[in-house]
This record gives sequence, structure tokens and C-alpha cells, in this order.
Amino acid sequence: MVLVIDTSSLRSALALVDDGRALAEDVSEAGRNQLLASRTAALVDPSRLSGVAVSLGPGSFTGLRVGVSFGLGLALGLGLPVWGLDSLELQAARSPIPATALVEAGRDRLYWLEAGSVEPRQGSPGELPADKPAVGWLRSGTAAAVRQAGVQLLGEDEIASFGEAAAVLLGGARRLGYGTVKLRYMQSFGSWLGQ
Amino acid sequence: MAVVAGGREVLANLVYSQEKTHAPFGGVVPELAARAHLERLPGLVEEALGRAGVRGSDLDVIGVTRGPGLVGCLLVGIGLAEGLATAWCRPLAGVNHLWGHIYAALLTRRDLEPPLLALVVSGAHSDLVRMHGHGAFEVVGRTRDDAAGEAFDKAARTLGLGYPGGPVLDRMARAGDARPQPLPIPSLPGLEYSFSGLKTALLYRVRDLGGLQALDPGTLPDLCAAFERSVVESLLSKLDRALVAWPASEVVVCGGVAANTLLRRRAAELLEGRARLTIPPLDLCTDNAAMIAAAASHSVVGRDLAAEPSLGW
Ligand SMILES: [Zn+2]
Repeated sequence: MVLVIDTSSLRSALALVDDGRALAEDVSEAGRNQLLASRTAALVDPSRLSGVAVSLGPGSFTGLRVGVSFGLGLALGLGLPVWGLDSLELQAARSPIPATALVEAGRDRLYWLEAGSVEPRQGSPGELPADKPAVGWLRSGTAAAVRQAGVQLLGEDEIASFGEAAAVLLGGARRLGYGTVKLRYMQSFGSWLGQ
Repeated sequence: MAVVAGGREVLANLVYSQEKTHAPFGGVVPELAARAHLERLPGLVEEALGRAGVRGSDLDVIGVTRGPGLVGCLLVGIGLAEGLATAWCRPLAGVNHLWGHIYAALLTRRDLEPPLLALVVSGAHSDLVRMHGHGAFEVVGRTRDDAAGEAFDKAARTLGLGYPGGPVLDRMARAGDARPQPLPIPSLPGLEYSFSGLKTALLYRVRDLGGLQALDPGTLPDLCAAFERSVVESLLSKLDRALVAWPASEVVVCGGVAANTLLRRRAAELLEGRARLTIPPLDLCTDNAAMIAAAASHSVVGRDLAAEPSLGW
């Protein structure tokens, strides 16, 4: 059973995945405190875990630090493997149709990944491809700006849950060494991709 | 990363120094610091437990600094500690880093107990503190501008000595004499410190001597010695005043700047026959995890700690 943690955005997401299936999830508003320890304890007895997967970003500077270090500590303490996931790929995997995955980059900007592309980009909502729908956890103001740019934003009822997306991605996730976990939230994509 | 038994006995105390990472920038780069924490902490956890010969689940409590400090670094430390505490089903204690410096003295001397009077001097603090009991601190003096460690760093930069300034300046001062190039000893009324005027005085002195390039090799150590003397005498004159106002039988001088050779010697001379002085050994003066572990047994215990970058006493 793998605990999946994604704190890259406005929602703080935990999911329990086993054998390609999502067993349970807890997606809440990310407040000042993510309450990861108590929420994890409510979701699963940690001794039953077989691994931990963390979203490495891109996304929130604060959120990623909190979630990734918590997941790393949990895995380290239990001697379990750690897998790295991508916040944009997680969003993309939620859509049943080809869609642009979105994550807030702060100051009204977005990180996005076009369907079929492997190269993430960063920019303002006006720069998004208008011919494809988009998926992501956005603030209401950002969501409005995306719609204003002529991009259709898929609703939560039209897409798969966070846990289901995580279950799909886990199969191909990259295993990380405890000391090699690096965050992806760089303002400059050049330096991010260069790592 | 450290393991401490009974709040008093250091079983393992590991420090991964980031000095080399930040030296090219002349100061700590927050982004690089947080990244280095994430990369180094896991290895340190395993090594500290190994050296102490204990398992995580044997620990009574896991202590972690909740502030003050750089927010990105605090978040990484707290997150990792919460993960470990969840994995091992152990309680978590959020520690005030400043308290930790005083608890370093309690690690140094097994029978040391509050009440005590402490001079806490580091890169960010020059505080005179009365510790009434565990977890009960009263600040009676602080700096109005630069902290003592900050003053040493800035002086080292003015003198072209590089970063971190404290240790280099200390070494250089040992070869110098404070008398040929005397600098003023900052003195505000009461128990407040101020080191910015001294920093300016040094800058003017270097200029009056024709600039850094024109200094002869013997003058540089003398300037270091003079600057060091002014900082140390200023620190100790207020400690003296505080001790007169609130007589104490136990006095502690701690924090990164307490590694300074002259401060250690002059503090011993000042306290001779007046109070018992405890100055932690060098590795417990500079930032370390053993002091946080010692303080953890007297700190806030709870899950889901928040980082508090500007936490005070
Ligand atoms: Zn310190």
C-alpha cells in the first residue's frame, strides 16, 4: 500500500493506492498548516505502508517543502522506498480526454503541460493553447482568467479523482534515493530542466 | 542531527556544514540552504542513530527547531521530523532555537540548573537573558542594530577576510595587538547593545590608512584585534551590569560567537569569584542539533507543528 502526497497546489492531497487501485483519499484546502501527520494517521496505519510517493512539483514553494519532506521522513523512518511524481502529470492523468494540465505558479501565472508534450511551460493564462480543455486545481480568480482566455476548464465531476490518477502514474514513477530528492518549482524552467 | 540521552548526555551530534556551499556568495543563500537540508538530512538521521546505537522507535521524543530561522529550511526540518515521528509513533517537540543555545550549557555541565543569567551571542542575536526555570526566559538586554556575529561578519568583509567572518577574524586577531589601532567601545546606557557605529569606525579607519590595498601586513591583525576587543568589552560590560542588577550564582555565555577566544578568556576573568561560568565547548556553541535535543525535553509537544521564522524568546 503506497501513500501518495501532493502539496504542490491549493489543495493538499493524500491518497492510498494499492496494486493500481485507489483505496482512499483525502483532498482538503491547504491552509497554513497542512496537518499531514494527523491526516495520514486518519487514513492509514503507517506500519501497513509499503512505500511513499511524493509530488515534486512544479507548484507552491511552501507546500512542496512541507509535503516532500514529510513524505521523505515517513519513508525514511519506516525504511520504505520513495517515488517521485510530477504535479502536472498528476493533473493530466485525471482527464479522460487530451487536456492541458495546470498548476498555479503565483502572481497570476501558471505552469502547464500540453497534452502530448513532455516539456512544461510557464506563463500567463492568455498564453495557454485555446483549442484544448484544461485541468487543474486553481484559485477562483485564476480559473476565471483561464476561462476568459477562451480555455475550457474541466469540472471535478468530469474527471478522475486524485487517487485514481496517482494509481495510474505510480506504475511508471521513478524511484528516488533518500538523499536525491529535488523539488521542481523553479521560476526559470531552464534551470529546472537542467537539473 | 543528534541523539541525546536524558536531556544531558550526547550520544551522537552531527553537523553538515554548508559553509562551502555559501562561501562564494558571501552569505547564506536561503534557496540553496533549504535544498541542502533536504539532501543531507536523511543521511544524517541514519548516521546519528547508528552512532548512538539506537533505533528510531526507541526515542522518547523527537525534537525539531520551529524557529527562528529561514522559513524554507524550517519547513524542511519540521516536515521531515513529522514524517519520522509518524513512522516511529513518537511524540514531536517544537523547539525554540534560541532556547537551544542555553540548553547547550546544560549539556556541558550536568549539575547546571536554572535560575541563571545568560549572554546569548550569535549571528542573529546579542541577548542578555534571565532563565528563571525550564521554559521560562526573560530578555533583559538586546542589540539595537547588528548582532555581535553579524558585526564580526561585516568587519571581516570590510577587511577582505571572506565568509564566515567570525572564525577568520578570531584567528587573525590572535596574531595582532589591539593597542596600535584602537577602536571605540560601543556603550549605550542600560543593557542595550549597538555595533553599527563600531562597524563604521572600522570602515573609516581603513579608509584613513589609505584603503585595504595600502595596509601593511602587520596592521591587518591589529585591526582585527582592536575590533574584536571592542565587541567583546561591550558584550561583557553589559553582562557585568546585568549581574549587578540581578545577582546570579550561575552565568552562561553561549551561541556561535561564544566560540571566540577572547570572549571566553575575558568572560572567565570577569566572573572570577562572582559566579560559576559555563561556556559550552566550541561544537556546542555553534549551531548544532544536540542543543535542540536537550531543549526538546522542555518544549512544546504536539503534532502538525508550524514553522515560526521570527519566533522570539
Ligand atoms: Zn544559533
